[in-house]
Amino acid sequence: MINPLLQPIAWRALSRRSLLATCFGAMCFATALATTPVLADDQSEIVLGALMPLSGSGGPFGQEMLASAKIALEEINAAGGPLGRKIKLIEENDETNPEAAVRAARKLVEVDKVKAIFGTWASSVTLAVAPIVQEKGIILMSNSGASRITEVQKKGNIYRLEPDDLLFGKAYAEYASQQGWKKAAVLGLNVPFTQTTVEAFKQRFSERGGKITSFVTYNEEQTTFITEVARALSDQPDFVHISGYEPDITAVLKAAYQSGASARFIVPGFAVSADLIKNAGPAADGLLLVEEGVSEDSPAYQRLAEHLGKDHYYSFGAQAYDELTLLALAIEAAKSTDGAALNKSIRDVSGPEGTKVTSFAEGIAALRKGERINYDGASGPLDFDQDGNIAQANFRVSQVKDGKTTPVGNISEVKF
Amino acid sequence: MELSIYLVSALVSAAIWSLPAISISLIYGVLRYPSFAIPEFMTLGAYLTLVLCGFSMPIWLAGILAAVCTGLVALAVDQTIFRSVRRAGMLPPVLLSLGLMLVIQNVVRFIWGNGNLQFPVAPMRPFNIAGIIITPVQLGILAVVLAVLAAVFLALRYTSFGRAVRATSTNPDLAIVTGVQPERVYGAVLFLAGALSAGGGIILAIETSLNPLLGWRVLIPLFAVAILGGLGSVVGAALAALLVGLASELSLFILPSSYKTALAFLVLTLVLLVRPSGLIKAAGART
Repeated sequence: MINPLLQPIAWRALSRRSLLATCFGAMCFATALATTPVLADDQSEIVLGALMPLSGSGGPFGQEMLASAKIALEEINAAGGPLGRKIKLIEENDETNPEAAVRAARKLVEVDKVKAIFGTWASSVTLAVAPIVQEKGIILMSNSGASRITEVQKKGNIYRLEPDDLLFGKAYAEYASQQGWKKAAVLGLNVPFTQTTVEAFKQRFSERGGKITSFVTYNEEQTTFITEVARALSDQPDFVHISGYEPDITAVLKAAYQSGASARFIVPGFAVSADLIKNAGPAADGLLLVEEGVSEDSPAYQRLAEHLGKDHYYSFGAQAYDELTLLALAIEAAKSTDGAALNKSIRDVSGPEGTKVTSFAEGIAALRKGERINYDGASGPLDFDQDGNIAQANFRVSQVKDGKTTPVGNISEVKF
Repeated sequence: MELSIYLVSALVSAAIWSLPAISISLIYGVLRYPSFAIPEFMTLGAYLTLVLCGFSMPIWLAGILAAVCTGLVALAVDQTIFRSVRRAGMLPPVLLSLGLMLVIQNVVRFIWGNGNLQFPVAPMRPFNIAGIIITPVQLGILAVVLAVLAAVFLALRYTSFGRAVRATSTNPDLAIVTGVQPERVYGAVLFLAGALSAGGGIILAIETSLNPLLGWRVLIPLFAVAILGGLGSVVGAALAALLVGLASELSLFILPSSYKTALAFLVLTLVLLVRPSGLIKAAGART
C-alpha cells in the first residue's frame, strides 16, 4: 500500500515531471512524424565526402581543392542537383597522413553515410583509404599518381584523375620529341618507382625516334653525385631526365653545377618544391618541370579560374572540381546513389563515347533527353581505362629562371 | 678528364666518411662497443650549424661552434647514461646507442621537421687546376679534413692525453695503476667523437642537402670503413675511407652505379680475407 501521507506529494511531483515529459515526447513524436516521410522520400540531400589534405605537406593543395569543389557544388545545386536532389558536402581533413585519413574515412562512411568520397591526394592516403571504400562498395575519386595504386584499383571502386607515374614517363618523351631532342640520358634513384617510369619513358621515346644514351642509377646514401652526373653527360645528350625525389634531385643538380657542366634537366614537377629551387640556387637555373596539367581553354576551367582568380594555376583544384561534377552526373545517369550502380555509370558519363558536355547543367540536360554523355572537364578529357586510371592527360612544362618558375609549354592529351 | 672527376669525387667521399669513421673507431678502441649514435651526431651537428648560421655567422665559425656543442651533447649523454653500464659488457652500451640514435633522429624531426634544408653556401662553379675540376668548397673541405686528421693523429701520438687514451685502451687496469683516470679519458674520447662526427655531418650537408636522415643514410658505409680500417685505428680508418672511396667511384668504369655501395662491402670482404683484423691491426686505440 502507498503511504497516504506521501501520496499527494508523490503525485504532485510526478505530475510536474510527467507533464514535461509528455510535452517533450509529443514534440519529438511530432517532429519525427513531420520529418520521417521526407527522409523516406528521395527528396533529401545526397551526402558526399570531401576527404582532402587541408593540413600537412599537401595543405596548400587541399585548400585549393576544397575551394574548387565548392564551386562545382554551387553549380550542381543551382542546376537542381542530380535526381532533383541537392548535394551536401561533408569536409574532412586527412592531414596528408594515412592514419588520420583512415579515421576520417571511417567517420565519413559510418557516421555521415556518404555515398562517395573524393579528394585524397597523397598516394599513401589513397592506399590507406582504398580498403575502406572497397569494403563498403562506394566510390573513391583520387588525386594520387603512384603506379602501385593501380594494383589496388583492380579490385574496383577507385578512380584517379591525377595521371599515373607511367603517364608522366611518357609525357617527358612527348615533350622531348616535340622539341626535336633525340638523345636522352637518364639519372634514376635506385627504387622501384623510377624503374617503371623510366621504362615507360624509354618505350615512348624510342617510338618517337629518340635514343637513350645511358641510364645511370644512384643510391640515396651516396655522399657525392659527381661521377654519376659525369657519366650521364659523357655522351653529350640533348637532355637528362632525373627520376627521383627532392633530396637526391637537389644533390644531382648541385653536383652538375659544381662539376662545371651545363645540361638541360627534366624532372617530375611533384618532386620539386619552392625549397628545392631555393636550395639549389643557380644550379636549378633552366630546370624543366613536367607537372599535371589542365584543359586551360575548356569552359569548365575558365569558370573555375573566374571564381578563384586568374593569377594561379589550379591543377589539383581542377581535378577536385571534375571529381564532384562526375559524381553528380553519374548519380543522375544511374538514377541511384548505390555504389555498384555508380561504379557502372561513371564511365557512361566520362566518355569517350557520347555527347560532349562541359558542365553539370549541360550534362543533366543531355542525360534527361536520354543521351549518353562525355564529360570533358577542367582538368582534361577525363576518360578512364579499365583500372580507373586517366587514359589520356594534359601536362604542363615550366622552367626555372632566376629562382622563379614560369610555364614554357604544354603537352596535350598524352595517351597511355 | 673523366678520371680526374672520379678522383675528386673519391677524395670528397673519403673526406666525408673519415671523420665519423674515426669516431666509431676511437669509441670502439677505448670503450669496446660500436656506437650507432655516431651518424646521428652528424645530423645533429649539421642542424646546429644551420641554426648558428641563422645568426648571420660565417659557416666556418658556425661549424666549429656546432661541433663543440655536439661534442658536449655526446659527453653529457656518456656521463649520465652510458656511465651506468660501463662494467656491463658490450651489449648494454650498443643497445643504448641504438636507442640514442632513434631519440636524436626524432628530436631533430620534431624541432626542424622532415623537409630538406640547405646551408647558406651557394653552389659554385669549379676551378680547373691542371685538368682537375674542383670547386672552391670541395678544396676547402679537403684541406679542413686533412688538417683535422693530422691534428688528431699528432694529439694521440705525442700528447699526454693521447698517451692516456692509448694506455686505457690497451690495458685499463694498468692505466689506472699508473695514474690515468679512465673516466676522464672516456669523457674526452666521447667529446672528440661527437665533434668529429658533427664535422663529417656538416661537410656531407654542404655537399648534398640537410634532412633528418642525413647521418642514417651513411650508417652502413661508415661501419664498413671503420671495420675495414681495423676498429680502434685512426690511421686505418682514414686509409680505409680513401680505399672505399676510390674503389666505389672507379667501379663506375665497369659496373652500373647502383652497385656502388655493395662494392664497399666487396672491398671489405676481400681485405678481411687477407687481413682479418683490418688494414691496421689494432689491439686498442692506435694512432
